[in-house]
Amino acid sequence: MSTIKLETSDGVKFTVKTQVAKCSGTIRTMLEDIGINPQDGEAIPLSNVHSTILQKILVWAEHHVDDPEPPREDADAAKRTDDICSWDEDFLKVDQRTLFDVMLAANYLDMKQLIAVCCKTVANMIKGKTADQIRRTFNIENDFPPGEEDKIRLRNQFCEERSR
Amino acid sequence: MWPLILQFLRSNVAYITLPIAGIVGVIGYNIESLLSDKYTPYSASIQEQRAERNTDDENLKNAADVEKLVYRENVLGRNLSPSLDSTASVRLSPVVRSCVPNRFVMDTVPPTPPPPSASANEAPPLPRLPTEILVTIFQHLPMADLAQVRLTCHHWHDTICYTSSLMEKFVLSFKNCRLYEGCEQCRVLAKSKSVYTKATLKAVAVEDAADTLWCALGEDLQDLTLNDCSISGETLVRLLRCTPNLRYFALKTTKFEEFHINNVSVDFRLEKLETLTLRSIFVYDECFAMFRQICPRLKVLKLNYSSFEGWGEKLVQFVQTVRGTLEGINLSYTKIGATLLHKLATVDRLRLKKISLKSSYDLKQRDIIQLSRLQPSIVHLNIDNLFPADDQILSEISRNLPNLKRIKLHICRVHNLQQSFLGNMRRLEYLKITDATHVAGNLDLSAYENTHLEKLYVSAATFSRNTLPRFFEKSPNIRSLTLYQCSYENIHDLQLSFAHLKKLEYLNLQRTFDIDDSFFSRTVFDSVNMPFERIRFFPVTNLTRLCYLNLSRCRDLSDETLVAISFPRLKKIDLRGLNITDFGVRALVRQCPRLEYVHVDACKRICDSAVLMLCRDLRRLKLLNLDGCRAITDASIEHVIAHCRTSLVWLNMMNCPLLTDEAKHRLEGVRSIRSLYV
Repeated sequence: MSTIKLETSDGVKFTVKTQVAKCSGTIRTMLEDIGINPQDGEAIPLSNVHSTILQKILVWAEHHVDDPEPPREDADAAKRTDDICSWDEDFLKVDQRTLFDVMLAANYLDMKQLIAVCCKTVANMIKGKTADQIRRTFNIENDFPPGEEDKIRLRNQFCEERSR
Repeated sequence: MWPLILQFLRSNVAYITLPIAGIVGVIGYNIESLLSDKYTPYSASIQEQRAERNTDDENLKNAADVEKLVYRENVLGRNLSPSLDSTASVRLSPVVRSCVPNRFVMDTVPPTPPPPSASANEAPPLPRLPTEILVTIFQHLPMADLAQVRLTCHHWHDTICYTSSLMEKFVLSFKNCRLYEGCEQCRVLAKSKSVYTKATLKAVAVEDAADTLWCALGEDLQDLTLNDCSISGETLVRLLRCTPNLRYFALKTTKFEEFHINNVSVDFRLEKLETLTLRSIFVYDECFAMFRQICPRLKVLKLNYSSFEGWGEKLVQFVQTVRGTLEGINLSYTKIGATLLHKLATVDRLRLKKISLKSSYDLKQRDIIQLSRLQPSIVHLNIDNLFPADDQILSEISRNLPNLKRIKLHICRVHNLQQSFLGNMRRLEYLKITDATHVAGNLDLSAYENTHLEKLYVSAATFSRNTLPRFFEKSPNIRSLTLYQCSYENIHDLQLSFAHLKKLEYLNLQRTFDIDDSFFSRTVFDSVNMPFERIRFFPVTNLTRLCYLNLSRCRDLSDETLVAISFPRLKKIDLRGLNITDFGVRALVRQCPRLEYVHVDACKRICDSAVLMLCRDLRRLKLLNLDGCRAITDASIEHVIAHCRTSLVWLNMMNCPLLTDEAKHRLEGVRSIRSLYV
């Protein structure tokens, strides 16, 4: 089993099985297209990822390394959020900062499945809440100029769900 | 000697055969096991591989090295206050670090050990997510949640409003108001950055063109409906001038204060308009004259439910203008007569593909025959509820329109449907046929063979013995089957038919009075004596693909049916007027957990506990119809409020005399409900 080395933003070096590392589209491209040779012993620098986050992502990648490609969903189908598998659900029971960092890192590393699962989790956190509750949940600052929020609220009143 | 032995064998054959068969079997089994290669190729499943990897690694040496145990914070919880948060991360961080080296080999230890969050004193703002991730998150949300999300902050607001795939979920809707220059809608929406593609106006008095509003919105609108509005012709023209990208436009039940279209210069065109609906607008001639000038590429014209006398010439002129592109015309429920239909059909170079003439009673059989001669390109023909067709007209139509894919019609007194009609209909995908005779065997499909047929709707027919299974055997691709108020000489025919309908997704048996609970039972069938068919018996309860089931008004069905049916994919069920109780509903929610649309109206014996089970156990419930469930009380309303917070959109609790007004008002607080009838 071949391994490669990854170096995170804070200088930690990880030795990872190549197959696991290839869950990341970015690393796969580096290895296959650009032709970085992992046997050189030189670590691939991942300047946007902190070691705690990379470690978490590697746990996820190792669990999902054998997953088959997901079927292509057609865009019209209503997106579901209740189909997160229980392992992922447990895995993402982390504080929000970690969740967001994982999402950013997954985006940087181009791991579509992980991004999808994180997005579903966040969507579930938003569902059924009012704007105020959403702001408190995600620690968002209300940066609308005064009066603007009321205008948007009025606009919302003129909107309805599209019926299929 | 031999005759004696044979005689002996013959008389004792019952006692000899079994031991001999046993011996032969044992010998054969052993020979086979000696000769054959017992090895079966086996590859471990993903689950097994994963389990193996998780157990055989070195990881298990250290019990603390389980990542999932490290973080135990509830992801749905609110942010902690700043002080609590920092202690939490300080407490957590050593654990995190200690378990790192066990799992992945870490070569160098960083010079500054603490992770960034530990040093901060107050909760750091969450990192700003890139737009494409936000869009992916928001795509999972329905419009009601998106409306709240865009109220939170600038970044999220702009992300939604500049993304057309998200804004498509928003439909602008003005109801019971007046629109004029400077009205509230103008002020609020004029400077909106949002892109609205669809708008509906219902019961709106459009007094003035409100140019600022339409200039702001018009460019993006693709779909506009005016229903029950009052508007002047000039205003309408000015409005349409602002919407150059319109693709669907509908004008329904609209009162025009005055329609002086001749004074208005129409100097623009809606090049993209494909579908135009004009219904009950009273000034058809003027409208035809106007739309003739502005929509050159119309594909579909819908005039159903329009009562008009004098719109002959102008309609023909209109159709002449758009003949190059026009494919479909809907004239259902109109008073169109023979002359006008003939004029339309003879428009030069018009090639109609779809025409609907349902319930346009002024038409006679010969008019339809003439139409089929003049427009052989027709693939969808709707002559439902028009006249009972006999052999002669059926054979004419089938000869003139060999490419038909959809047809809806009534029949009466046909001698041989197969010979006169069905035999030529090789490409039919949808057949809706109503039998107006009520004579057993009048409708005989058994000789029809068509692998294209996907939908079948038969109404009011009486099927004679053995015809149905023979038909379904030859039409294996039927996905949607409706047998409305049909009767059967032998109800077992219907049961046997399901053996050939394994692809069925939609089943409607409304008002089938011949079926009772035993129809759905697996056990009863074994006692029925049917020597040959029994082998092919495939109970209706085995239809695993079924998504829709309608059993309404099948008056002999009761709880036993609900206990017997178990369809894992079922989304919609209609049980109107059945004699069911809470016991049956309990079985239903357990066996069909994916139900979204539930009609149990007029089920008088349903009580509060059934409502509780429906609301609590069906997580995706969108529609609940309890109209006329006379036994339910305010407790049901409490169940709805407590359990249906996110998914329920449509609720009907009319005609329930035990409900109090106070409780009904409380239902208005359930935010997800869009349509409420109490």
